[in-house]
Amino acid sequence: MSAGTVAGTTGGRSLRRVVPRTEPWCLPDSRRVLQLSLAALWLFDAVLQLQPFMFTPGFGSEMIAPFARGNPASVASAITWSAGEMSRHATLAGVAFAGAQLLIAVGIAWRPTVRIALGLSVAWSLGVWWIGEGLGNLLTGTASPLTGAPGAVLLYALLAILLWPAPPGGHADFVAARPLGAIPARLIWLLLWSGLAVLSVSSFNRQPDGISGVIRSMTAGQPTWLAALDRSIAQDLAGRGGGVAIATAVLFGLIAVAVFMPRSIRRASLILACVAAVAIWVVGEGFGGVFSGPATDPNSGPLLILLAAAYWPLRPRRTDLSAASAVEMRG
Amino acid sequence: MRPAGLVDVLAILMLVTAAYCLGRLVLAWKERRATHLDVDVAHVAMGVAMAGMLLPALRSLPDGLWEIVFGALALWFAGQVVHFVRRWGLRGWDDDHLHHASHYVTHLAMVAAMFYMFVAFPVVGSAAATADMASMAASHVGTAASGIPFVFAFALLVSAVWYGDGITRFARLPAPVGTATMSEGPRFAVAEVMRAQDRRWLAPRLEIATHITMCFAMAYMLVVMR
Repeated sequence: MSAGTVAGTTGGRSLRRVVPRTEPWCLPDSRRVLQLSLAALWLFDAVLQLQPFMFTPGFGSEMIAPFARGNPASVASAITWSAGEMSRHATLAGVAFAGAQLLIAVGIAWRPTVRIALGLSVAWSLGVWWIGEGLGNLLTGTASPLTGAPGAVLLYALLAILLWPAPPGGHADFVAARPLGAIPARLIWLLLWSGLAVLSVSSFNRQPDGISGVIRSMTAGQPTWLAALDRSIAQDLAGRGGGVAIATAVLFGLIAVAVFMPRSIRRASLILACVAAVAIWVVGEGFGGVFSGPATDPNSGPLLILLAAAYWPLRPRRTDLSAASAVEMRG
Repeated sequence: MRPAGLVDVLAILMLVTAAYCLGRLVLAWKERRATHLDVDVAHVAMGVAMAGMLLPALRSLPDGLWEIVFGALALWFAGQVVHFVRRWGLRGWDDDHLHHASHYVTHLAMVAAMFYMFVAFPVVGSAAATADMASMAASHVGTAASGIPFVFAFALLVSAVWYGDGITRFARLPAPVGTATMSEGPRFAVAEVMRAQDRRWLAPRLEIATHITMCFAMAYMLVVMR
């Protein structure tokens, strides 16, 4: 076992002893809590993947194959081929999908394997983003933030990168800044939310009845209270697609740029991002459709909330505060 | 159609887990080691009940009795939550730095989920039923209550992950050489106290493993039976 040397002093007498490099167990910090939240979502996905339908040929033919529609031939051919193979080997596909997600969840939850599991989750997510989500329909012209664009599984990959364990000792303004640095992390947020803003005003989303149609289509099989809510909102938004699209784009744009603002503005914008994510999740995504039938994941809503949490400004450490006050006193 | 053997495997796993928890109770009593008596009893009940829900052939108690068992356990854990919060507060830890209010809340959620399954899906829990729970999937889809199983399922999975993170706390770390642990400051001192307290407990990692297994199986059943 590797060991590190630790020096200590007791009563003026210097002690030198060897202790194992293994750190004592400590309570989860903010980043670990977010990692565990990500693991819980992966575990939920694994349970959803174990539903009986996922072990039938319908998983490939009805859930995967439709993502080929509208995509360029180079993207669509791989989806069609995979869907065909999944239909032919339905049980094997079900076991593979559930097994991979279970492995990722357990790996993130168990501290010694966090890095391996997060790395695996990035690779798995990118593969599923292509094969299982048709690149979030970004190339089809029908992608909408309201229905999960740019693809929930892409957000899993993004979170795995932003929550990557950083070397101990460093401190950052927010959790997502630790592995990459504050500027790259902020640029990722800017790219994501400005991308959502752009998608909001695509011609598909600007159609007068586009958004209301999407919401109305979510009512089938939902709990009665959610179906009633969806119908009511769809009715209110009928014929107003253009206005809603522009308002949504402005809101997402503000959320995107606020990440470069002072802490108080950032906090407000992150709360706004969470509210938007909840609205997307409940109204647009119907909780990922998990209540209404076989669904593979809860869609992008919870992941957007988790992302916002990773950008929440942390309290400065006591040592940083002391340094700041020392500078003030010297000044 | 259902995943070949998955339900059978889960049913057997539940029986094995229940038997292990029963064994824990006996061993802890014989060797005078610490164990969570109430949690082990609840795990035994949940293991046997879930095995019966998964496979009709394994049903054990007459109709209505499991509801009484899990109702009583829910009352017990609710009382423990209240007692803990009164003594240590919502964010506090008990004397051995091992238990937080979430410990009792988690087990309350588990027995409440079992109670809910027996009440909401009486056909599955009935001793007279011949079909297994997977074949009754989606019986509540489209009703006002179809979201409740997911709330329970997600809470259980969060708990499984949280406990999974804590499993390394009980890893057998080699004891530091030398006696000057307190000189390392409060962090090492607390860690040493925690380690000394943790050693009293009977196979804590296996206890956590049984909890995770139970949570996962129960979440699966809630999702499939909804």
